[in-house]
Amino acid sequence: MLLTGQGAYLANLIRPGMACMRVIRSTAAHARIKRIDFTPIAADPACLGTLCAADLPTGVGTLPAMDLAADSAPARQRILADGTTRFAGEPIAVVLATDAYIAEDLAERVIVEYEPLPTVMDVHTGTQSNAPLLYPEFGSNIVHQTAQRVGDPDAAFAAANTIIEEEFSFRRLIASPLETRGAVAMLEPDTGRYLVYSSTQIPQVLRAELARLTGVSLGRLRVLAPRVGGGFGCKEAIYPEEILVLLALQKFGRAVYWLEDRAESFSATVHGREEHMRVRAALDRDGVVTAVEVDCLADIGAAYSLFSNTPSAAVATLRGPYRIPHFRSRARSVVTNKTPLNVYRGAGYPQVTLAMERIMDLAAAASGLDRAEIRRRNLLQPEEFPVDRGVSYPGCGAIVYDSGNYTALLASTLEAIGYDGFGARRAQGKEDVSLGLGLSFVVEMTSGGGAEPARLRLSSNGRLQLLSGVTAIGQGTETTLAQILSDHLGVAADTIDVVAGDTDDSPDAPGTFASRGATMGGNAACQAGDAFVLEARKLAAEIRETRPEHIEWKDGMLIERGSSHQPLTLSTLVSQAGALGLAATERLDVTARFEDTPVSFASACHAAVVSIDHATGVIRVLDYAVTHDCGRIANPLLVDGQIMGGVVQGLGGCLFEALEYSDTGLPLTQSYMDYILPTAATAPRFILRHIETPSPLNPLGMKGAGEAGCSGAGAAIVNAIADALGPAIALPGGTGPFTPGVVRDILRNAEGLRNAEGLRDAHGKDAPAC
Amino acid sequence: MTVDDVPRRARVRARYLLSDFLREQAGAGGVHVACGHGVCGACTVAVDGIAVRACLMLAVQADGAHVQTVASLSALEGAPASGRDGLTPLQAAFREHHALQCGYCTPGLLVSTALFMSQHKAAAALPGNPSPRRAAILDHLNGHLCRCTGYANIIAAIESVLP
Amino acid sequence: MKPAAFAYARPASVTDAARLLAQHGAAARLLAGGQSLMPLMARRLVCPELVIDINRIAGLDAIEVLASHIRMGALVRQEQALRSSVVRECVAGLAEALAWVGNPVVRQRGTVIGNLVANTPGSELPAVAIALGAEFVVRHPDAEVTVPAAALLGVANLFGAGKGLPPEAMVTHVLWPRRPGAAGFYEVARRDGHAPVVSALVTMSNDECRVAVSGVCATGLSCPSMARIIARDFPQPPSASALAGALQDDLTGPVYGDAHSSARYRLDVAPLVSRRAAGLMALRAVA
Repeated sequence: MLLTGQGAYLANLIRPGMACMRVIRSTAAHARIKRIDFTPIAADPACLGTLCAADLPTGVGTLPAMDLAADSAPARQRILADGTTRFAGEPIAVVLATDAYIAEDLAERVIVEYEPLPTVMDVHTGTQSNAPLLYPEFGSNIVHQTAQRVGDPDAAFAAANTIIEEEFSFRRLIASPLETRGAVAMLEPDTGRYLVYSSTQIPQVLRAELARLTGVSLGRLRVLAPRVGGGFGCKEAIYPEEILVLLALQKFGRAVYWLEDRAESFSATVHGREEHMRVRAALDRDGVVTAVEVDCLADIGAAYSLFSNTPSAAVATLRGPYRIPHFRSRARSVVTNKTPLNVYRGAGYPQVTLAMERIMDLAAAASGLDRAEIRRRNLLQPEEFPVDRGVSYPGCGAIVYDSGNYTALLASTLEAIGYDGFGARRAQGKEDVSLGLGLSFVVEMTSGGGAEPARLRLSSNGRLQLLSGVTAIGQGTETTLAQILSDHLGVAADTIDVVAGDTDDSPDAPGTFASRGATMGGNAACQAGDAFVLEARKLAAEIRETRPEHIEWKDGMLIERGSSHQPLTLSTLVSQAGALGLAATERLDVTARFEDTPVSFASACHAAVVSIDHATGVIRVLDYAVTHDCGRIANPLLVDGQIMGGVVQGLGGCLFEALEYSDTGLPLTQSYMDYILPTAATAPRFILRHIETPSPLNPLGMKGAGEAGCSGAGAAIVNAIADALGPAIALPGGTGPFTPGVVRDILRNAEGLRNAEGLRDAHGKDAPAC
Repeated sequence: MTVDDVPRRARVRARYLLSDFLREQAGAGGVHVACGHGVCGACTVAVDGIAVRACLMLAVQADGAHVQTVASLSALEGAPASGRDGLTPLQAAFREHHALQCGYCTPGLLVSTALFMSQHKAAAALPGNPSPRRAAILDHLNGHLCRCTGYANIIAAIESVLP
Repeated sequence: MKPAAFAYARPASVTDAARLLAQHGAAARLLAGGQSLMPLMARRLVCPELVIDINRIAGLDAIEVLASHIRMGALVRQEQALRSSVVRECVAGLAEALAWVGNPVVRQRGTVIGNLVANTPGSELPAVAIALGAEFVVRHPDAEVTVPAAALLGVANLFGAGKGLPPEAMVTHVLWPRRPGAAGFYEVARRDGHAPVVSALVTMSNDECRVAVSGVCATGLSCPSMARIIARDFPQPPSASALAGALQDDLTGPVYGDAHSSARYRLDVAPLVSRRAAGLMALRAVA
């Protein structure tokens, strides 16, 4: 029970006698490793073992990447750096000791000698013709590209009334769940199987990869995700440390644990978001956007993580909720000497949303239209669904919007944020504080990623147990799935136990990502529920010596039609079956598989009100409205929690968070004093509303809700900042963080221009005297 | 020291952190280490009635002290745990307002908030102008990071139990 | 992120602590609240051979009223000083500044003197100590001297390892001149509750104005030129451009900048922050 501190997270599983593994990490961004010298610690009795690349079994492979194309260059990540290190923080060797204190002492004494190589620290440097190459054998630092086209964008641009061009740079950010990563490898006492625990979103994938990389057969491997303290996509990857704990167990014969500390997490755990985009939009004279094109360079770090190319693939969905008949996109992944990039809440949608929504505001200004009106003129209308967007997305096929009502979302959010009255509110503001209002729209793909299994069985005490493949990472799927099943079967939710995260229970589930848990897991649970009811009716029929057609299931009870017998509860079913020599718990143990359906599309309209203090440059987000559509909602409280959590995460990325590197490629961000997370004082007042346009693609009509909060926040806030500064001030193409210093620079430059040209400021008042 | 009213004795290295001692030798699995450098507040415990970041204290410094973790929340709140799940009023408020998701920041936040509530009630009883309730809550929450909830429900939960 | 090994001593008296410091010098560190030292040790940025824990030394946690000073011992906690009615009544501005230091939990353990001698760039209290004319009682192995805080804190200095405070010296008390009056404090940070970027304290006591500014130089500033402008215009708000000009006169060294906030930003924002603090002071003075 989490409220009483009894949650069993990875760190709670550590037992006396386990060896502590400490990773020795590269301190060079790009270098040849001349030697690794363990002699300073080799004779130390506290050292229980060491591993470097030379010690790994021959032929042990590289880590997996799941979003490669046939022509992607194989920039695969090694388990331990072999000969060359390509990012600061890369695992070079490991040391095992009796405890974490000693392990850290020993690791410091190991000598690693580097011969520096020239570094590539940004995509522009990396794509120049004479750029140093991370992988000389590839001939280029561009390792992956995709391109898509819809209609005839060239013709549309040629015929355009106005063309808008903008560049965007998205900073490198991290998911930073409060629980860092960790892994334990041990032998299962009774069976001799290998047990691996990991704070992961994808235990099933990890098991498959452990088998592939270590040679241990699947039948001898059980992988479990314990209670996980947040993931947000950074635990949706396969990491060297997860493989190393098993390799260390195999080699040294004792249980091993690894706990990531916060300082190492900044370079040891995948990064997110970093992309550079150029966007062009064509407008006709009525403010209709006829075409948009985007060219994206993604900075994916030194090697592939599990889904490094996926965020930039989202450029295919740039048009969001807007019709925009002509479209072109190109995305290229560039390797640089930084930590590998992976999906992070929203997986590319925050970036494309910000780009598209900035373009819409700029288009409004260029057309002389109100910002809500230009959106109305471009939004897809309800009667147009389903809408084939003419583009595809890796692993998910064609993008077809299943359902939605974007005009209703817009109307609701405008009303919630007080759009019509905002001019008056702005005018009432203080002398040296500007208010601004910004809008954004998100249409987000959810529930992709593969079929979802579910197993439902009856316990001997009459309780139901749902074994789900949806790993719990804090999003409350245990509650949601119990509720969905409860509604479906008519039994009380608190008689249902939901367990997940154990590959013994759900060996082939995809895991938790893409906001698929409630939708896929819920539908699978209902299918399992239907199968369960069928079996229960059969069993009851046998007990009552009648036919299953005469047995009805109602609210957890089995009723014989036309009989005066008491209905059977699940408990009495167990005992009466037992009296007849029938094992109810064996019979009532069913599995179901909700087959992979096309992805569904959640949507949301966001609006933010911000204040900018001209004297200090401090930005506050005052009010934040979201109208959200995730189809049929199972639990509004949980959905609202996801939205608010996502918005504040997006707010953090917009105003506070950034990873910084030195000129030589060393991470400067080492602690929460450097990487600034949002706190309660920075959270806005929320106004949350819901519209339900059920998805026709699954029986429950659900869509995912985990990411549309995060994906829209940066866009709404940046648009609000631009609005507060006024149309005379252009925002720089960099998109964050908008620190007080950045804001003061913008204001000072604008003051300088204004003083030079004698202009009045945008809102008709003289520039504040400060 | 006593940890949640259970006496604990050990010989430890000087550098052994209180957070590690509580987790590893006093069975206090509810003490969560999230940052290890005293910023996030997840490891907050009470030492002789004062809220302390356990990762910034050496175990030896708590020698002879009365340490309380989330397991002692009822005593820290001065209110009994009740109901089928044995929750204190603050825990019940957190549940009702959905003020936790992954739960990793929660135990430290509960301990810190229980102590804050006592102080706030004491200050409110004095004549003069105590700081407005919401401002005081936000000041208190400056010492805690949560990555899941977006904080609004945490604030609402605390407001609901603070008079 | 576990500290490197060290020897540990828990002296019962200042004499014992001073003797240990004298023996080990820069290889030893005093441990009081730990809110500054422990994070550095966790990250192994500081690896003392000996940690001298002063938390059990009796008598160092007192806030005493003397004839012309308030004296605080090395174990007076920040929260304790903030809540002290003596501090509020006798030292204009100190409580106002303390309310912005860290957060409530950090303040309950962190000490006033610990925060002062850490002398982190941007930190509020060192600037306040300089501007208010505070003094340190410093215990050397064989002697006890009282020195102006400005002499020690005006030099970039961390835990006694710089020019200002020799490593074998221990600050046992800080003396705050008794100067009741009105005060206003304002601070800008990258985020509410995060480390201060620029802060300003303005006090007015018997028509004497003092201004403390942190975050513009690496060490805290007393700003007599800015104070003259504020006093001259009082109770009208001073003009920001006049304050900006005066600030130039009050600088003691190059303007400080770091990864969080540039020197340009700090210089740009300090007059405005000071103006706000002056405004808050004026409200209290009139009330």
